[in-house]
Amino acid sequence: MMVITRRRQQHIFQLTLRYLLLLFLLTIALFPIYWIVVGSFRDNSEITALPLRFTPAALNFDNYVRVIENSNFLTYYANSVFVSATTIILSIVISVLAAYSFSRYRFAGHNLAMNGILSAQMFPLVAILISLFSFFSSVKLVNNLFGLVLAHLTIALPFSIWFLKAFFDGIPRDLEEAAYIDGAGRLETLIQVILPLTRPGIIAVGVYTFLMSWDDFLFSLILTTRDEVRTLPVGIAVSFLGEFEYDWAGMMTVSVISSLPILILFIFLNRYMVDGLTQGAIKG
Amino acid sequence: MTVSPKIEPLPRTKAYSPFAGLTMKQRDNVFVWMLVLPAYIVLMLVVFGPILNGIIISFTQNTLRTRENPTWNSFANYIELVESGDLLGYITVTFVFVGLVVGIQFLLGMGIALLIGNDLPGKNLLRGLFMLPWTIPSIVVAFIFLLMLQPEYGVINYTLGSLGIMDARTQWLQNPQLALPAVIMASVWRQFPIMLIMFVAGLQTIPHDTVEAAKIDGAGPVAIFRHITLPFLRSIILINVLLAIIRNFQMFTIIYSMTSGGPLGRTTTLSLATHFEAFRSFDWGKGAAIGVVWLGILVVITLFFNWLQRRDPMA
Amino acid sequence: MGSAVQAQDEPIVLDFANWIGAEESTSDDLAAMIAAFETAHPNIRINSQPTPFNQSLETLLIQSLGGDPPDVGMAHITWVAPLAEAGVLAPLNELLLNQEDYLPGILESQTIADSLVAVPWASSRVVMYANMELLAQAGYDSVPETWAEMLEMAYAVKDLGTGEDGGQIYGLGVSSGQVPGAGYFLLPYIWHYGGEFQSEEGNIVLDSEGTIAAFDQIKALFEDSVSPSGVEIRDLRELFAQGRIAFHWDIEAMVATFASLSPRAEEFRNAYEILLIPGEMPQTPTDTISIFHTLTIYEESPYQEEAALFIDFLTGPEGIAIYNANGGNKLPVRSSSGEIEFYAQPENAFLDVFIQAIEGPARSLPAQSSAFLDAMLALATANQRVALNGEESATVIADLQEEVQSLYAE
Repeated sequence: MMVITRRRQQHIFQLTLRYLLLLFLLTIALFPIYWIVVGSFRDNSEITALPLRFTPAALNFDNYVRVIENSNFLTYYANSVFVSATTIILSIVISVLAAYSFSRYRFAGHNLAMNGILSAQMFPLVAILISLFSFFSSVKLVNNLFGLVLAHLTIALPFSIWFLKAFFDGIPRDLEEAAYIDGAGRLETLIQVILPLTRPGIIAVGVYTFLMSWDDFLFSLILTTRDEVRTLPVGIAVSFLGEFEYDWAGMMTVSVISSLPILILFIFLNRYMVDGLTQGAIKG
Repeated sequence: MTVSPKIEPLPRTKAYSPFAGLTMKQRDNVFVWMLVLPAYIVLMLVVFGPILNGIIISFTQNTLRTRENPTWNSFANYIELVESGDLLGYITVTFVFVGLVVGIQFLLGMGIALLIGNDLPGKNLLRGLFMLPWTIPSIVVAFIFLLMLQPEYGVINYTLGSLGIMDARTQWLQNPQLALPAVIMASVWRQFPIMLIMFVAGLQTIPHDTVEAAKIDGAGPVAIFRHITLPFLRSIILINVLLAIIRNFQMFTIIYSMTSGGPLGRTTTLSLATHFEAFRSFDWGKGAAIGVVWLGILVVITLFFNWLQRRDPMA
Repeated sequence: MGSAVQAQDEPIVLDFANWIGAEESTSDDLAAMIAAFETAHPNIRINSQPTPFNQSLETLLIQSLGGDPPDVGMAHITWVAPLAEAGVLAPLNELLLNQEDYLPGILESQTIADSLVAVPWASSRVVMYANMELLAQAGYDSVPETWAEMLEMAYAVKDLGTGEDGGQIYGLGVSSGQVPGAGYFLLPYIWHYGGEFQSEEGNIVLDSEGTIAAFDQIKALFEDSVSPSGVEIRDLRELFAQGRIAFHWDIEAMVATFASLSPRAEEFRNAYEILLIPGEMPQTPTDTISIFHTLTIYEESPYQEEAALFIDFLTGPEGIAIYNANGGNKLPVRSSSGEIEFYAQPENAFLDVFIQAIEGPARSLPAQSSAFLDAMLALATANQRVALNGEESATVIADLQEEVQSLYAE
C-alpha cells in the first residue's frame, strides 16, 4: 500500500477543488452556446413551450434546410465573406507599410500621426459613421460592398497600425543593418527579413480584423439598406425578427452557421492568435 | 532574438531601374516616401478625415430639415445637451455599464487564469474552451440572451425560478432595474475570454524561482498574489483594462439589439445616444457633439492610465 | 432605385420596400401578388425589399437620405407625415390611376398641403379575440357584453392560476413596449374612460380624469398579474396562441399568425371568437382604432409611372383578392375591390366581425402630423412609467401632456 502523505493529500484536494470550480464556471460559460445548438434542432413551438426541456426532442435538421433554401441567408453569408476577406487583405498590407515606416523613420508629422492613431481608436464609431454616411451618400457609395470595406478599414487600421508598430519596434535595427551591409535593398529587407519575424503579429492583426469585420452590425446597418448587399449580422436581425413573431428556431440555426467560420479559424489558429495578441500586449 | 537569415537577393535590376542613378541615401528616401505616402493617404481619407469632419459637424446645425445647408451654430448643440439633462443621464449609464462590465470581466478573467494556473493538466484545453464565447458574433450573443431572458419561456428565469431564487416571471429587459444588469451579463459573457488569455499569458511570465522562493519563505497564496503576481502583471493589467474601457464605450450591437436603449432610457449609453440622435432624430449636429464629449472623456481616462503606467515600480 | 441603364427590351425593375415580405404569415401573399402583377405586366419586375416593421421607418429614411431610396414603399399610416416632411415622397395627384374608384374621403385623408402623398392600401381595425376555452374553464359560456364583464372575466381567468404546462394564465394582455404601436393601442382604453388625445381644434388634452383612470386601470392589471408585465405585442400574440391569455386586442388579420404560432395549428381557430371591444353598455362597443397601410412613391424614382401601375394593381380587386386569400383579412379602399367574391362568402365567420367592425365605432389615427409618432412613443413610455415603474399616474400624465404639447408646437 502506498502511503499518501499529507502534503499529497492537500495537493489532491486543492486540485480537485480547482477542477470543480473550473467545471462550474465552464458550464455557465458554455451553456449559451449549447443552448443555441440545441435551439437549432427545435422548431418554434418547441422552443416556446413549457415546461422547458434541456435536450432536444429530436436531432432534426429541418431548420438548416429551411434557412438555406428560403431566406437570403446565402447572400448575406457571401457578402460577409467578401467584405471580411477584402478588409483583411487591405488592412494587413496598409498597416504593415504604415507601421514599418512609423517604426523606422521619424519624419514630419510623425508624433501627430501616432497620437492621432491612438485617438482614432477612442473616437466613437457612431460619430465616424455620421461622417462616412454623409460622405458616402454624396458619392453614391451607399449599398456598395466596397464602400463597406472602406468603412471597416476605418475601424481596423488604427488598431492594426498601432499594434504592428509595437511589433516592429521590438525587432532590433541591427538586422536591417546587417542585411543592408550584405547588399540587400530596403524592400528585400522588409519582405525577407522583417516580415517573417512579425508573423504572429500579422496573424493577430488579421484575425482581429476578421473578427471585427465579421461582427460589424452598426456600420452595415446604416450603410447597407438593401437585402442584396446586407451582411450577416444585419441580415440575421432583419430576417428573423418580425412584427408578428420571432422566428427563434431560424435565428438559432443561422447563429450556429455564422459562428462556424470563427470557430474553425479559432481551432486552427488558436495558438497564433493567442501568442500574437499576448506578445503584443506584453510589449506594448 | 538573434537571427541570421539567409538572404536571397532579388534579381539585380540596377541597370534598368529608374533608381539607377541615385545614391543609397536617396534611394532610401524614395523608398520611405513610397511606403509612407499611400499609407498616409489612406489614413487621411479613411480615419482622420471622417474624425475631423465629425468634430466639425458637431458645431453645426445639421438636421433632417437643414441637411442641404447646415449652418454654423458653435456650441448650441452642446448647450442643448447639457441643459436638457440628457447628457448627464447618458454619461451616468455609460459609466455604470463600463465600470461593471470591465470590473466583472477583470475578476472573472483573473480568477479563472489563477485557477488554471501554470501547472494544471489539460490547461490548454481548458483555456481553449473558455475562449469560445468570444467567437460568437455580437448579434448572436444578443439574441441568445434575448431568448434566455424571456420571462415566459426563457431558460434563465425557468432555472432560477425552479431553484426558488427568484420569481420565474421576472421581466428583465423591460424592467427599469433589471435591463442594465441583463445587458451587462451579455457583454461580460462575450468579453471575458479576452481578459482571460491576457492574464494566462501574463502569469506564464512570472519566474518560477521567485514564486518558489516565496513559498519556501512561508508565503501563502494571498501573499504571493499581492506581492509577486500583481506587480509583475501590473503593466498587462493596466493596458487591458484601458482597452476594455475603450471597447465598452464603443459597445453598440448588444445593447441596441437587446433593449434599444430602453426602458425609459436606462440602457442608453453614449454610444446609443449618438446613434439615436443621428439616425432616429436625424440631428447630426447633436449626434456628433455627443461623440466629441465622449472623446474628451476617453482622452482624460487614457492620460490617467498613462500616468499610472509611468509610476510602475517594476520599470 | 431601379437599375439605371436598361436595354430597350429589358424589364424595368421596381424596388418595393415593405414589411409583409419579412413575415412568415404574409410573405406568400406578397409573392403571389407580385407574381400576378408581373404576369400582367411582363416588362416590369418587382424587387421586394423586406425590412421588419419596427425598423422600417428608420431604414426608409436612412435609405432615402443616403441617396438610394426604393421606387415604391409600403408605409404605415403613422409614417406618412414624417416621410413627407423629409421631402422624399413624390406627389401622386397626377400619377394615381382610377382615383374615382377610391372610397369617399380616403384620398383626402392622405393629402398634405394639397399634395397626395400616400395611397391607402388596406385598412384594419383593432378588435378583441376571446379564448372561449379559458372562459369556459372559469365558468363563463359567452363573450362579455360590457367592459365591466370583460374585466370580471379577465380576473376570473387569471385566478385559474397555471395551465397544465406550468405556464401562468392571464386575463387581458396589455403591451408595454417602447414602440409607437404600444402607445396607440392604449387609445381605446383612454377613450373608454372618457379621456381624449386631441380636441376638435387640435389641442392636446391628454391631461384629464379619463386618461388618469385608464392608466390606473392598466396599472392594476399589471399589478394584479391579470396582464403579463413588460412584454411586447408579439409576445402577447404568442401567449394567446398558446392558450394562455383570455382576451387579446389586435387587428383582425391575426388568424393566420395564430395558426402558425400555436401548437394546435389551424385547429386553434375553434378555440377563440372575435368580437368588438365592449363598452359601458351592451351593444355599444368602445371606439376602436382604424389603421391604414399605405403605398407611396419616392421622389427620386425614375419609374414613377410604372410604380403607379403597381399601386393600382395592389389596391384593385385582383390584388385585394390575393391578399385576402390566406386569411389576410384586409378591408378594401376602393369600391371595385369591395365587390370581390371574398366579401360575399356566406360562411366566413370572419366577415361578421368585419362587417360589424366596419360599422362599429372606429377612429382613424390622427396621423397627419409628423409629431404623432413621437407622441405615441411618449404615450407608451408614460405607460411604462406608471405600470412598470410604479409612478403616480397624475404626475406622469401631467408630464406627458407637456411633452406632447411641445412636440406638436414645433
